[in-house]
Amino acid sequence: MLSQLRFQFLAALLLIKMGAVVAQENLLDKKISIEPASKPAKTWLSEVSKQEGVVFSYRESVLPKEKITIKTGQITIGEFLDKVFEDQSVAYRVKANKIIISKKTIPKTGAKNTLHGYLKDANSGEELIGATVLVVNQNKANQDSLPIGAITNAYGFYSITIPPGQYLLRYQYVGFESMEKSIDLSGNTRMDLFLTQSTSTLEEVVIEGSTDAVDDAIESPLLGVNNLSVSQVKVMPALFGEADVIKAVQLLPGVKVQGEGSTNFYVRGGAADQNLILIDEAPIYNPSHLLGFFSVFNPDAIKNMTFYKGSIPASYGGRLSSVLDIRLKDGNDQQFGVSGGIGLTASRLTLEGPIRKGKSSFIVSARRTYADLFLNLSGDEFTRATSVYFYDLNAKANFELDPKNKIYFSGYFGRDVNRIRSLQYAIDWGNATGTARWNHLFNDRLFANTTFIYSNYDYLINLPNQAGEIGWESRIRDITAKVDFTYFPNPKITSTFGLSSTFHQFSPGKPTSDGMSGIPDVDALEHGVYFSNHHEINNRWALEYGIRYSLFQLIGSTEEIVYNDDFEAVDTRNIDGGVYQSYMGLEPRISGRYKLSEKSAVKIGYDRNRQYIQLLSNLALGLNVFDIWFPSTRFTEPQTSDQFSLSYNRHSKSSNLAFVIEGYYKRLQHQIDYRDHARLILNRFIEGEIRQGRGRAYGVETSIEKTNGKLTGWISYTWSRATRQIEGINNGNTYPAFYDQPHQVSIVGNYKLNQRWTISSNWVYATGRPTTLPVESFSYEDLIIPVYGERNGSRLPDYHRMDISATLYPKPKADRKNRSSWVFSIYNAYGRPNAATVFVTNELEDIDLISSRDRTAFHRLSIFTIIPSVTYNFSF
Amino acid sequence: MNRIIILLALVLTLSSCLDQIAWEEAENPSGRLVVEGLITSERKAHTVKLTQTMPVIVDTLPPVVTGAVVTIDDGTQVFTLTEKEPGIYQTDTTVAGEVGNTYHLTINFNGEIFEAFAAMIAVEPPSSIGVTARDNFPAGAGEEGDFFQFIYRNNFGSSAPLHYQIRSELPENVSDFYPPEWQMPNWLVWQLENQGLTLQDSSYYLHPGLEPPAIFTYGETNETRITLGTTITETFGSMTEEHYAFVRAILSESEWRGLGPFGYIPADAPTNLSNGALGYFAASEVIRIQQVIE
Repeated sequence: MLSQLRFQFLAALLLIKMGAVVAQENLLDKKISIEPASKPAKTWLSEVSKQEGVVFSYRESVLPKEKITIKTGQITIGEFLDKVFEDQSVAYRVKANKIIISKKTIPKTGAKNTLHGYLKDANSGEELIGATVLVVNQNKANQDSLPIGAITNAYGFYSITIPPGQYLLRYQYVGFESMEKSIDLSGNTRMDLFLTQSTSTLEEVVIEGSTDAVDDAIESPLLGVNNLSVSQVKVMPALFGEADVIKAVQLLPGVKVQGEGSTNFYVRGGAADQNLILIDEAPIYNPSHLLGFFSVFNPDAIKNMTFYKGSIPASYGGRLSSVLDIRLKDGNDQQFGVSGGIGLTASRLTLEGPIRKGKSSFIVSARRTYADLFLNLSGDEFTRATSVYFYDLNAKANFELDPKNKIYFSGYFGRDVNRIRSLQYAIDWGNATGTARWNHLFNDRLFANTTFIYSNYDYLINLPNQAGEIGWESRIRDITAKVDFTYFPNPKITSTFGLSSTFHQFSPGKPTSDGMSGIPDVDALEHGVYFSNHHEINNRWALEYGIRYSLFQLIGSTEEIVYNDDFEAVDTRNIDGGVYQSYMGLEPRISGRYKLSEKSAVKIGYDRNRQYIQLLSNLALGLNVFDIWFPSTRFTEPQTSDQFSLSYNRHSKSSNLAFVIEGYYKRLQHQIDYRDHARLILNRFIEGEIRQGRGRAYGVETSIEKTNGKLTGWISYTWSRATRQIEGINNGNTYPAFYDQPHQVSIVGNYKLNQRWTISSNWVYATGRPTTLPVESFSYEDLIIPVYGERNGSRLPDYHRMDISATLYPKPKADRKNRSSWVFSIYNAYGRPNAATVFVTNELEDIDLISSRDRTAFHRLSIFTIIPSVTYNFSF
Repeated sequence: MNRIIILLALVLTLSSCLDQIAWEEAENPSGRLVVEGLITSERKAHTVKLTQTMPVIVDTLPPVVTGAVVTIDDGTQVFTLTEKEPGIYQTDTTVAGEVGNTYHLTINFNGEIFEAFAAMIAVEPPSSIGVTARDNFPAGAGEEGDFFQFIYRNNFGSSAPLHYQIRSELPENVSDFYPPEWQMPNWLVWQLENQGLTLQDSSYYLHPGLEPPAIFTYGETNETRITLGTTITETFGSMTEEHYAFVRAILSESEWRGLGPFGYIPADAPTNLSNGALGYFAASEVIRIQQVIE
């Protein structure tokens, strides 16, 4: 009964409101005839009042003093007022058949209503991350001429709080048709909207970007952020035809690669472990398959990727240089679908569909290589007994419990297997993650996401030896609980805040065979609490400012190896429990945007980051398999960075070109390197191999991107330097980091030849990587021993490579439900033998065959020459 | 075997390429003095070898240093070394080092003085080597049959760094150690015809840690077939941590120079020589154990 009364009351209120709105519309839409002239505002108002009988209510002090020129003869009253008060801080509204003219005021929160909801893909129901909601015609209806809008958060949620009134809203998202919708906002309103993929996207050829993304780049106060399109990644030429998001990231300006085919990447002078790689918020500690030739990310399962290398939002913590935030698809909640691909080395299959249509869905995506199947055909016994493969499995399900609560479960499991069964030879590694999330809407403006995360990376080595087997395993395991809030207090401010706590379990090295001692296990807690505001100050200025406080604690029972000042292990200490070492610190982050015009903006930013765990990695070749994650301890201090950046962005809509130039300067503290001949695996005293010192990185990155049309892509050039100065290395002198490559060029292009063919190509160039090579040699016990110059004092030959691909789609048919494509690609099309490494040793005939023990030689190892491949992709 | 990790990756690519390249930066040596010296507890002529640095790519012997004045003293006595042949300087045959002494090497060459200090520490008493009969091939069973094998003191089989040498010699007449009906297996026939009586003569550096590149090196080069009557002679030489660090470095820069996860990042070998000289002067206690397989 009560609810019925409430409904009737609300209905009556709504009718009254609607009537008032109609009256307002009628008055403002009334046509008037004006003699073009130039007069003061007061005179204009007085004349129109007399002529049309309209009552204007105002204080004279509100009116502009200068003369206003109006040329149009026939206009509406609304248009007349817009012209009189153009560029003025004056607002008008209709009340009781009067037009009230007043100064613009910053609206009080309490006087407004909230429009909120989710933006989703009309076809699949996938929530759209980072979509824009803009209030287009706010000036006519109400007071404020500042741009009002919101960006959907990581779950597709948006909220805008504005005064009651009629609005025209525009919803836009990369690759989707923009949608405009009129709304009469008379109370807090939920509006879930479904955007349709743009025409170009619905066609078989999926390469076009969107000017919306470029607009966002100008609007956003963040620097150095790239949103990567999975569809574009899929048509880019790829090694063995396996589309790879990490390889796409490596083409971005400011991102360096170590050697050929490596998954490792280095951002703005930071080491590989300074990149936080997340899959549905769970960290991936080793993103590589097959010694790094492939990444662990199956592109079929990915919905959205955002790469931060400049301004890192305060919600992220624990790494110094970048964040690659990958979000998995939720699964199609509208219809069941199958998609996949068949390649020369691997195949993929994805199943998705609704569990309850429009309410819940699932997705399962799997990938496996099958080179090992061919090994079984070999006549050689050892080859037949060899297993070399990897596989991935992504699974996710989501359930909408009610309009305010939604839960998600997602997981990733992947493993590399390298075994020779008859020799008890095994090297396996893999990641496993699980994420459980609960989205809760406290009210129209306060969104909360509570997450529980599990992440595990481990590897196992088992090697046959004359004296028996030697086995070793290493692991890092995280369990995280976190809660993140998004609060939309008013249209100018979006606040995010939250806290997280992670329980790390480090098992850096544990022998599985007798006669060896392992590295003691360590447990740690890493906490973070943050607050951040996105603040649109006015038409030109916008700020993103926040702060993070992080606390790292070593806890529990363990055996601590004690090192002296000479890095020698001199003692062990039994820790009985509790917190025995803590580090903490504040991480302020601020960036600002100043719009020079609608087409261009200047941005400036400062970020401080702290990192409490590090990767101990043998850098000889960059095959990131046997890396060890190790925490900060009493003897290894946390790494920190301070980055200053400045950028200029410009976008020409007429030519669909976006230009960015961005400079940065970064100071790094407690950077990791290793003593000479450091032993990084199978070493109980591994911490004694670490040396820490200062780092410095600076550079300028520039790119020009064409976002629409038959030809899309970008050209980027980076000039940068990265150096280290660490006591005990290179006699304490500054030396270049091994990924210091001053010049880097990337050219990425996609050309839509016709409805069936798309051609893609990329060309990359980089200065040769620094390396340490001998300058002379000496003889000792008949061995020839090289003598080196400066650490990283030489450089490998310059690197360049061109990849080409062509994608063939079937003939377009209106009734075609299934979609497919053939991707033909050539990696390293002109077959340049780029050096993965240069080294000196006895003359080699092949990588494992010495041809002369009496002679030495410089050898260049090139891993890939020309690699052709073909992949068939399908979906239905 | 030590390249198997890389091979696994390269098998998949089938397209790797290894070639020799010229490197102009490495063609002009500085001619720095290189010292290779060792004094042991054995009574014998102890040698210090003096050479100079060479270009990186070499196919000749290093230039030797002649005319230098070389002495070793232990704080109480001074031993003057004589240049026996170009670059080879030796004490007389009556010199024997003693555990606990620190030896001081002095080289006067072209008016420049180069020095090094080396402490002689005691070698840890070793246990006897384990030898087991291989029982899955009964006597007279054919080509692979009837031999013994033993487990090496592998490269992490010592609690302290150790220079370990092993030599195994077949007896003059192997058949004397077997019943009359015994037939010599084919491997032994091949051994005697091609290699003679010496089955093995190897030198290892043992240490408490595990050297990943060395695992494979030792694993693939050792053959352990022996017969009854074989004489195994083991020699143990003490090493200081600094001496082992030098040996480890030169092995890392030569025999262990692998690629990938098990390779070491290139770096100079340390030295205990002063004034920019390279190499190492070491002192070592030496003991020997000999056994005959019966």
